[in-house]
Amino acid sequence: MKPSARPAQTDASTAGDDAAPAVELLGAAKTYGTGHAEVHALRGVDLTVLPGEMVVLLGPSGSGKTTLLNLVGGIEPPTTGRVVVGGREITDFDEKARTTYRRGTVGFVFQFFNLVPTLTALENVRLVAELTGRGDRERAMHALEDVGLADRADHFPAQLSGGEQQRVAIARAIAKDPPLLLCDEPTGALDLETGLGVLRTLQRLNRAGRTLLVVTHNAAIAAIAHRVVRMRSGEIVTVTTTDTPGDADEVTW
Amino acid sequence: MTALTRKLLRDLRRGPAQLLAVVALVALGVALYGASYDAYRNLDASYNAIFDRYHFADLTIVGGDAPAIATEVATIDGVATVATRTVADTPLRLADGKTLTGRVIGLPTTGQPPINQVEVESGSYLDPSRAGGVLAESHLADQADLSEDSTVEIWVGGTWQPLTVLGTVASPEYLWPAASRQDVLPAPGTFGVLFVPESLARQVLGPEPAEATQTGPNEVTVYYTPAARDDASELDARLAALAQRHGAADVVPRDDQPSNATLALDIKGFEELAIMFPVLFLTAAGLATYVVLTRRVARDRAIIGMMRASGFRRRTVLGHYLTTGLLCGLAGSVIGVLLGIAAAGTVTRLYIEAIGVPLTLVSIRASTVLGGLAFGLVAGALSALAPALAASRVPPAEAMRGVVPSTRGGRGLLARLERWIPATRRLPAAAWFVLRGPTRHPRRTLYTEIGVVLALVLILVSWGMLDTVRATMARQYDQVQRQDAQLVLDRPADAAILDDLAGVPGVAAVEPITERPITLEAGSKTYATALLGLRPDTTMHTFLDPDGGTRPLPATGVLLGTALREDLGVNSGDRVSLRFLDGSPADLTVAGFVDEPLGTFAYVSLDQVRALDATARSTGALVRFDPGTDAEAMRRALTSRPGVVAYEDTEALRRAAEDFMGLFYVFVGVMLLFGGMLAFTVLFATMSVNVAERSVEIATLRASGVSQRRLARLVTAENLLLVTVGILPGLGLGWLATDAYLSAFNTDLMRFATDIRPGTFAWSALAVVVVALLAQLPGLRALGRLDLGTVVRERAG
Ligand SMILES: Nc1ncnc2c1ncn2[C@@H]1O[C@H](COP(=O)(O)OP(=O)(O)OP(=O)(O)O)[C@@H](O)[C@H]1O
Ligand SMILES: [Mg+2]
Repeated sequence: MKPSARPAQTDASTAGDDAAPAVELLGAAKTYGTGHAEVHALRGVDLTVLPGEMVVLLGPSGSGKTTLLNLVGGIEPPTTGRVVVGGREITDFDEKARTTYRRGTVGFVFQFFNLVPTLTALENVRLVAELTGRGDRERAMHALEDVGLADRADHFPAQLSGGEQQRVAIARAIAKDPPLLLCDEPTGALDLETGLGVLRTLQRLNRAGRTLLVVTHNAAIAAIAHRVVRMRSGEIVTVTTTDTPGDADEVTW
Repeated sequence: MTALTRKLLRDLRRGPAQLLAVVALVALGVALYGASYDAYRNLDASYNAIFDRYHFADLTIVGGDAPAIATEVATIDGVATVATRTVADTPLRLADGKTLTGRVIGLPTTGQPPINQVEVESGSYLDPSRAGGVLAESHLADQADLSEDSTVEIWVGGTWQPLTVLGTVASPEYLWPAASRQDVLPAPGTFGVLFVPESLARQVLGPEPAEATQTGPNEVTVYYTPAARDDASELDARLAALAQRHGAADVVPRDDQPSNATLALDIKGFEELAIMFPVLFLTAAGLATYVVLTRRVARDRAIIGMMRASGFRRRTVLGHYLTTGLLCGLAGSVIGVLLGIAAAGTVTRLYIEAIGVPLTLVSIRASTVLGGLAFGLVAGALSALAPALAASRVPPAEAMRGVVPSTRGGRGLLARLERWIPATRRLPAAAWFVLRGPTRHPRRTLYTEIGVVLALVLILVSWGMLDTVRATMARQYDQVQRQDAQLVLDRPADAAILDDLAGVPGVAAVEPITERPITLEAGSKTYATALLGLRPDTTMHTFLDPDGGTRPLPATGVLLGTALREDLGVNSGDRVSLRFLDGSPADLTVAGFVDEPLGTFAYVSLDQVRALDATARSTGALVRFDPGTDAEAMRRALTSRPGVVAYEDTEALRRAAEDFMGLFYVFVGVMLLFGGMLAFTVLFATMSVNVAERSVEIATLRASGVSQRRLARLVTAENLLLVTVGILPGLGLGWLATDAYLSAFNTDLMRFATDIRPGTFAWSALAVVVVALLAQLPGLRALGRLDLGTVVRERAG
């Protein structure tokens, strides 16, 4: 299926513009392995994320948070169920279409940063932004300014602190200006103070209109989210909605 | 420049030593290819230029009615020029009294002959007004220190005739001073060529005693048109048939001309090297590339996952790592091509200087350059392909997972070993450390072993060749030829003169020998060689059976060099006919074959020689000395006896052969060096990858109190284990490779039976172990620098 093809049953066509979901999971399930080694990482979950929402996924280790993110991000297809992002059904995309989808639609922030050690902060940002033709220096600098690292643009990852590295990774994810930002434990490898810094950055990006899906172990992050999704054993246990999420500056860990 | 390109270039500089090892291997392979291939082509071109310039004969017809042959040959299509001349062998005496086998070749005194012209290197050409003036061939001139106005004597008509040297010359026929095809390794001071006025040459040849009619020219030389030369074998055959109708004894095409045939062997050697070297080194380079890149891909998995998750396409990732291999290949091949060009010129010049060829053509060939570049690029790309494909298959999910141990736990060889042999569980932890490394990455271990094997092959081939050549010489001069000297007499070797020689103090035994040039014929096949007549109970010659034993000289029938089994297509019991130079034929039964290192001869008893040719007289004697006698004193004593006109010292022959091997030692030294470098680079690459990969494990061990020294010992033990495993197959394959390489040189002129001393195996193995220990030093030093902090931080980056 071509990435541009829009499935007819997209909710966006029926709902109002503001209410068109950014992400929809419909009975999405993921099973790894076969036979004895079969693992049900996700057991058919339904989830709708609205544009501009910040949704936090909480849950113990192995509960399927990363798996859910992988499905939304087009990293892996679901075993059953459907995944619709921005009104486009990506469920049956082949590898090539998924690559194009990831390139245009999603920004990833990884737990372990995954910065290229031989590129400077700025070059790391440009590396990914170049994919969508937004790799010019100004735009990349702007992304670094967004995360407050303009003055470290020419530093290599090894010369940056963990929090700074994670902020470079965030800048890398937002430089290509994706509508959807997926963060897998963005503060997991960081200490309290740096973690908070990253949190503030994420909140600012969200307030600027981006849709965020953030996975974490840490319940404290939930305080700044519009919605908190709790998972266990591949299922969504509860969903808590707040109309007035807290400010990252006031979060206590 | 895109950030991706920048990443590529900067990644090259990360851990540059490993990539440099790859570059070095490619460069060496390409350089050696260029050097040997271009040397081969330079030599070929030089010789051909010489042949063109001096009109080197395409065909030489010996014996028969030369004038009649010449007249008829001139009418044949494809023949450009025909000439006749007289060539005769006769003893030659130098001013200091030393004698050698001389060859006089007739030249017109009025100017250069149309074929086989000479290059006057000093002095001047023959002069019609100076009847006793001759030209000395440059090798003879060098050895005997002859120059303008030196005097020499030749044995003509029963007396020594003095001659004056007018000049020294080089000849296309004697670029390599081989007396005959059977005698391509003449000792300096045993053979020399003089170019003399044609009339003098005819005088030396003298009337054939039997017919006593004609003292005309005895050789016809033929020069082809370029078109005919391109397809020479057809014209060769046609002219040979023509010549045989006129009673010619031997027809020698250019390829079989003794000097040319010998030099062709060397050229062939270069040609073989031009294949062997690049194959060994580019294979090694391929292995190293694979090992190094595989490690890089494993290290970069999370980054590759990130790139894929961010939307980089598979083929972008594939191209990224493929380019790394290509760049290494490119760098290596550019360096290699440059080195190769320089080396080819040097090798050609050194070689040609050593031989004394009057003309050197060194040129840079686009085909070699392009070939070298292609070799390097293909080696780089091919060996990068597998790791690059693996990289492109890294799933994007890898980026989400953080640090993933790159080992497949539990499925390895060791796990199985542990299950099968429960006792192994009681092995100390150190043993596990040593064993686990090699079993963790079976493919890398395999490639390390292949590296060890390749290095051993290279080392053993060179060393084994040296051993074999030595053993071959020993066989020839200790086993086969038992005489200490061979004498040429001016009279039949009858009882009187043999008794006289036996009476010289220091002489242990004397035997007569007859040596007659013949052509053997069986069916349509012919072979020119010498018929050697010896006493049936001779103690001067041992006849080695091809099966390994010895056999006596039969009273009837002929013993043939084993090469003739194929070259003539005959077997024991078959009849062969032999034709003497004067054309008289005779038939003999093949009594068996002898396996001799140098030359391919026909041996019969003296009685049979007399029966075959009533005019044949033994005019040679073989002499063996008492143990401990002084060779120089014996030479003086024997040459002063009446009737002795020439003297050939076996010891001198042997020394000459060993001198000849001087070049060989240099060659072997260079090969050993290259073998060492190959071993070093391959082992360096794999061992440093090995250490780098386990940096966390090793740093953790260090952090938990294991001393650096103990770790170094464990890593060393592991590496030694790896190398030791490769040694046996390496030695075996090395032996086979030596055998294959040497057998490429096996001809009717020289036969090598691969013979490598046990010590050589041991030393080669030791050399590889030492090189391995050296190659792991950088890795061990890196051990000392590892600390857990940096290792983990790098991972996080
Ligand atoms: N490639 C895979 N093959 C097999 N099983 C997998 C694979 N990826 C994940 N799993 C399994 O699926 C389950 C869910 O994994 P997932 O990574 O989604 O958990 P998680 O909630 O992100 O946990 P954590 O907080 O530890 O990151 C786990 O039990 C995991 O072992
Ligand atoms: Mg996870």
